[in-house]
Amino acid sequence: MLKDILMIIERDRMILRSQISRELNIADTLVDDGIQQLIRMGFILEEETGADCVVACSNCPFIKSCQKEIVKTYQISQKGKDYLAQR
Amino acid sequence: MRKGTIALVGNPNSGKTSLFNALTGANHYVGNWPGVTVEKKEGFFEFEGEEYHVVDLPGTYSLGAFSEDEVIARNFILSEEAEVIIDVVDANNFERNLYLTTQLLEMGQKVVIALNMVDEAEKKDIFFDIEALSKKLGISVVPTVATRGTGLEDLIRRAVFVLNEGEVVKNPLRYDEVIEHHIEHVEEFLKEEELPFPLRWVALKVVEGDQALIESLLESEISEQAKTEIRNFARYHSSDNFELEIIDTRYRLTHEIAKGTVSRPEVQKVTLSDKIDKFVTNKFFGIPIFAAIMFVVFQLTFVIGEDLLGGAVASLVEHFGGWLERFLTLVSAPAWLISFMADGVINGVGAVVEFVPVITVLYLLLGFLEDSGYMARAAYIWDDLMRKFGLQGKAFVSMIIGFGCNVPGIMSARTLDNKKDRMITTLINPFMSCGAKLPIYSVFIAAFFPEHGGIVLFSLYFLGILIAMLMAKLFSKTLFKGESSYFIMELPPYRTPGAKNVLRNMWDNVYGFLKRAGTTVFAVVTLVWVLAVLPGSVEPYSQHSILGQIGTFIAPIFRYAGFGGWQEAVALFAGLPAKEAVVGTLGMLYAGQYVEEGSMLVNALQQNFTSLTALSYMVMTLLYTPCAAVLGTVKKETNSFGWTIFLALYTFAIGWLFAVAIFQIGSLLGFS
Repeated sequence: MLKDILMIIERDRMILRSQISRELNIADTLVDDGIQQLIRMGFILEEETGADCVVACSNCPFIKSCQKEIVKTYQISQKGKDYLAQR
Repeated sequence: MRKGTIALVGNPNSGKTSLFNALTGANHYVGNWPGVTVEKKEGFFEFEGEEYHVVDLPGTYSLGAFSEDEVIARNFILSEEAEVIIDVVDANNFERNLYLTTQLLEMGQKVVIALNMVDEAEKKDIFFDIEALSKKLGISVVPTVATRGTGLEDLIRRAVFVLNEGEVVKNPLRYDEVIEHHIEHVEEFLKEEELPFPLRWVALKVVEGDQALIESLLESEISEQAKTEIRNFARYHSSDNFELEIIDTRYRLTHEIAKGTVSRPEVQKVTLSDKIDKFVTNKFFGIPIFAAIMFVVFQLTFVIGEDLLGGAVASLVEHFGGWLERFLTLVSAPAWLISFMADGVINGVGAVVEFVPVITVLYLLLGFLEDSGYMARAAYIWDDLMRKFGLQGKAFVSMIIGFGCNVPGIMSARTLDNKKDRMITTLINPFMSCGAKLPIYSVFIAAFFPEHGGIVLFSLYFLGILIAMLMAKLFSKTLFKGESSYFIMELPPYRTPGAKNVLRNMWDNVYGFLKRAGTTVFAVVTLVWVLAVLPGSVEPYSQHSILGQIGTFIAPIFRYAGFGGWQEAVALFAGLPAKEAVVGTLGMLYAGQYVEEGSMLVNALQQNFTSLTALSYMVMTLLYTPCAAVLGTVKKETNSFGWTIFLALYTFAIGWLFAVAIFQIGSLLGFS
């Protein structure tokens, strides 16, 4: 399952849980677990897209709108790429 | 006399604590696990005259060593203090919960499953073949509803039976040949050792590369030869990804167990979200749909924010200004104070505050799109196009953030993992129309294009994106060559936007806007006012004032763009500390000079600009040098004065070129 999730993510270059769940015929919660396991093992890297202005801009009037995350993004790590290349 | 200890283990929210409470009633006490702050709940119950000790372990999804809860649960189970484990499995999330069960069986424990919340599962048409399930797993499975006490007696009976007479079941998991070979190899060199845990489990964990267990073995009393073998194994197989294979096998087993033992309604093959995505993320329709949505956003922003509410707020500000001026005159305030308050504060800062409704509506609508899950799709559909322009789609995320304020837009570029993408994203972000530019567009649109507010606003935002992408292409072909890195974007399911999130997003932006109006804009307007009324010997706000002379000196730069007046030139430079100050400065400098009544700034602009020069001026403000805060951020992020100066100059040049082009081409074509 983890291998399949990793391959689908690499193929689609996106994570759409409902699509992975449908393709692998597993529950959404399992897709979540799978992605978390892949992150924990270092096959996928979770990225932060919300800017971090806390220290630099404590007086900035836009500080509250600054720290939000519009889109969650990930990268397949070198470990993940190597693994996929072997298969 | 206590007969034995039973441990409760399960995923968070599996109903484990309800089961513990139902089993022990009032006979329980709460403490802490040794050395940590995690709560430890213990209690006892009586069954057929015997007393049984119950320990409620922390909720966990697995039994690795990756969190405090996992370590506590794992260590307690392996300590064999508990003679039997009740594994509480949420019937609604069966497969996910079963992952933990597979690990318990691998540990060689006596396990009974409490299949909890079966009533809720049945309501969702999820049914279990308990007998088949029990047979596949090789352990007792008892359906329960812990909150109602259903199935409890049966569960206790089974647990007590297993505790007294049951045997550890055979581990149902067999890994592929390579892994099994390595497990056997590790078992071979550990079989003579005194291990604290079952041999196969220890061997499996060594193969899996479980660092916590490996370290504890290396610190234990096992022989030096065994320690050397463990070290060698870990070193030689560190890149073999056995952990992935092992975890994958466990998931495969849970899937196989569920197959044939659980019946559930067919999962809807294509959801509404999928149907929407088919169009919204389509290669050909995606960007036109995005453009259409943004057009509606800008149209609504202008119609509601400016046409419906803007006039009322402007009138309120002007009435307040009039009242303040009369009051100050009545209390015989000095003339300079009256001038400062009326011309400087009310006409300057007030002119900015008048645009709060526009800001409010725009960020309300953008917040709605963000919270619905659409903005993630927008970034996704732009990925291909961005790549053609030498960037990656995540740069579009920075650009979207830049629509609020370029400072966080540029700061978010630090998450891009190669320098090329980071630098290009930083250098193009100022072309995004931030909230501070909105009052400038709004006042010019109100003066010259009131019938076409939405389309003009939309065109300005898109022109910014277009120029940003063209510059990205130019930079990627010249200054920053190389490939853009790929990334994976998560598309959340569509959802109804939550009022709280949307309103908070709106308020954060309105608050930021008001705070800047009250601080930076106020300071700029004050400085401009001082320069406009000095020296005292000349007519205030005239060309002979200090400000007038500065403006007259720089105004020729903009002659070819059609707005060569000193006031317009000064206003552009006043916008360098904060863009809102452009409107504030124009409001102050034009104050009361041309207008009898009504919206003063709008009427003054109509007498100083034509539609063509207004367009040229708006494009200049869209593209020219960003504000000081943005330049400061660029310096900080690039750690280079050179790039900061480059950004300030090249954006000014681009703004000037486009403004001149619009005016000159427009004039040639006969527009005025």
